[in-house]
Amino acid sequence: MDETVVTLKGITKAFPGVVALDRIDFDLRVGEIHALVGKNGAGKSTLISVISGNQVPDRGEVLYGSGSATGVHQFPPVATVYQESTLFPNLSIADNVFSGDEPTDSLSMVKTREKIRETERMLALFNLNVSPSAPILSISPAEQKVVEILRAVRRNCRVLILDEPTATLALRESYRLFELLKGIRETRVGIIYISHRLEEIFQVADRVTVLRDGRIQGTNDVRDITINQLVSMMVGQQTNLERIQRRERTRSAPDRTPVLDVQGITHHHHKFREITFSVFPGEILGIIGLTGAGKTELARTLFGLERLEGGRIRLGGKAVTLRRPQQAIGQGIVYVTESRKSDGLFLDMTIRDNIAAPVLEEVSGGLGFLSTKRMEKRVMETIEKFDISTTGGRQVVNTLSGGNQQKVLLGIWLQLRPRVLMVDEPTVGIDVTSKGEIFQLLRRIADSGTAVILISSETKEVINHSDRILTLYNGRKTGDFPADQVDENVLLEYISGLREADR
Amino acid sequence: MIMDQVAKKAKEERLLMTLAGRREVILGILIVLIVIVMPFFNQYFLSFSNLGVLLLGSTHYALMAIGICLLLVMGEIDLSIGSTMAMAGIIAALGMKYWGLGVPISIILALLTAILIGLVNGLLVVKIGINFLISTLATMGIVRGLVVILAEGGVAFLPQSFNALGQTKILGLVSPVWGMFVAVLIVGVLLARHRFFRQMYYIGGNLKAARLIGIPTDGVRLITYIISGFTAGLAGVLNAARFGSASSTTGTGSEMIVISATVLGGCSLSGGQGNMFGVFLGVIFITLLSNVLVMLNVSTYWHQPVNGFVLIAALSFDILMNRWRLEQERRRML
Repeated sequence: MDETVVTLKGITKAFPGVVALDRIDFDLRVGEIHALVGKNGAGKSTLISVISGNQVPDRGEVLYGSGSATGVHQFPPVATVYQESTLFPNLSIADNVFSGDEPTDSLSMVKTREKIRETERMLALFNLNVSPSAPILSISPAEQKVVEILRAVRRNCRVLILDEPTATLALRESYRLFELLKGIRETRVGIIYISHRLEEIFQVADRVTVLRDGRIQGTNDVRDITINQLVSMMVGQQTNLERIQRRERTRSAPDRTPVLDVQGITHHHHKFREITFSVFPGEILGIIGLTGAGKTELARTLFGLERLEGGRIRLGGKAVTLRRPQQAIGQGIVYVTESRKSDGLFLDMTIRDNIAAPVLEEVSGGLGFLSTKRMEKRVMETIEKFDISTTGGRQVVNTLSGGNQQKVLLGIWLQLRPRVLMVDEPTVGIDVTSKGEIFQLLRRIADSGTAVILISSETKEVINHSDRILTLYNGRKTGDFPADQVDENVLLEYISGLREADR
Repeated sequence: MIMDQVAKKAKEERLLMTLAGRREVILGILIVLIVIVMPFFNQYFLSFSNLGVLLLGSTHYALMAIGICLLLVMGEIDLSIGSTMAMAGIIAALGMKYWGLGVPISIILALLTAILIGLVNGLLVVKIGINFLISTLATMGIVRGLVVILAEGGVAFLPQSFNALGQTKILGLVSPVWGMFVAVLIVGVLLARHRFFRQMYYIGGNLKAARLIGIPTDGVRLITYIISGFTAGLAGVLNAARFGSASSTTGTGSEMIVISATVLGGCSLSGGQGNMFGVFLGVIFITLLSNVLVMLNVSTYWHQPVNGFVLIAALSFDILMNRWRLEQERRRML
């Protein structure tokens, strides 16, 4: 039997209302790259936290190393490399690899030469031909990922978790990373590789484990399985219940002039290329893609925050240029950001101040003095219409629940009576009940004649709540179909780049 | 009925807690306490002339605090106000005494110079993107240097018609004091209610969100730096008129006193908070403190340490109060 670095036996972990992991058996071998796949909510993150010792399982045991039973209470030799870089961009490779525990002499002075020599040795292991004293800024994104891996490996980690390492990389960069990762076999480390891009698993991994609803659906050698088998393992049999949940759409007679008509637009940094689509008044268009597919960049471009290299945008039949948010707002296009706390809301201000923010002119009198009465009226309307549970317009937004904050955020933008409302991941960090309310709200907004663009990475969310779906993969549009003619299985293939609509 | 009473009591408690958390209320109480207690130690404290001196002494701080208050609401600071104040005084004095420009033109020239300094600060921060502490620190040094180059020690014996501006008594108070009252009142109302000034709270609350929502953030920030320059310039002109001379060391170190006073008055360095009324009380409190120390025959060496202690005490009290209040709220939820 192969030597293992970690073994899970019968792990069960429950959270209020959900069994996140159900009798999981899993093992990771020395020098292997083991892919872990599953939809959002399949239990991947919980499994990762159990392996790294952040969560104590309710049942079962975690064994580190070969057979030697060590409890989770000991510090496990696990390191995680996250999607987003955690490097210090201005410091050198060697500084980063040794950040936090540099080799020192008896006077606590850093032994720079030793640091550089050691880094050089490790870089050679990965066939990486760069100088240890080169700053992180000067090397490619794939090489930066490797530096993060080196940092983890040097700290004697035995289990290395790579969480969507290619999400922020271009395709060519990804291949480079896969090449570099082969060096890992020289070390005594096992890698758990999480990715939504299924085809790359076949290029980089040795084995693949599929999780669904907290259960292992199977662990296979990648040579013994096809992509299609993988997809059906991830999605499973769709239960009748899920089909019933899909709402009956009472679509009004389609108004055939699109509000927004986009022809072959290309992002100036090629985050998306040659995208063509249109949105009609009263419909919800779902745009779905994995992280890095270009969906947020697409929305930001339509809001005038990023530049276009080519293509043209028509609004209500008229060609428009959108270079600043003010222009987009003036044309009736608004964008509700996915990061509502960092760049959406004024957290320390009242609901009233938040709602009034985009329409200060409309709520003020002749000399520009704000009218409390007008502000109050708007706030009460919004609170009532959106069913925000609050003590009143003077409550500070910070003290509201996530769902209610999201409603306030939508409320802010709807003050502008947009023709096109783009909402980016509106349900992140929101409980199930509020999610339902948010979608009802979006439907009502659409019914009032606004075109809604729902940007999401949750297949089920998009299928259940939009009228039409646009799929993106790696900056390209791969499909465009009515939501009721597609199921999760197919959608997953489109967003993983396995299928593409005929052109 | 009982429910009503419980609700009423809870409401009263909440009101009391918000009041105790308001900086204006605490400052007001402290000021009243000082005014009540001080006469027992020094009978001249409550004399009209002492109070007049006190208000006059706080005039230039209060004027500069207007600009700083607006900037702090946006989460920014202007360190060059002390130098700008000196520059405005010197330009006015040079203009009327050596350049033959006449009093009104000299004053306008002085104020325009102050506005120009504000504009430069604004362009450096907003358009070029240098951090506000660094750029205004640099202009602070540059302007102070230019003042000395222009006028060396200063300009004395200014024309009587100009000095009248700073020495005329109206209803028992000197004219600059009235100027301060009017300016604070006007900006206070504007900041509280006017659309343009309200935008500063949004910018200080969340710059990114404000920009996304279509607030012209760059323009508002630029104009606020100009206002800051202007109020410092006004302080400089009135100060020169009050003394009948312009010194090139005027206002040295005043930026720190003004920042202390505004923060004491409820502004936060992280932006989004504060109002003119609180800031005014902060300025009054700080000058009152110096006055009290003088009246108690405490060595002037002690003024700065006492100011420092008061600032630390006020902010610590605030943070601890806030923690306590959050804890209470959490307990009520359980």
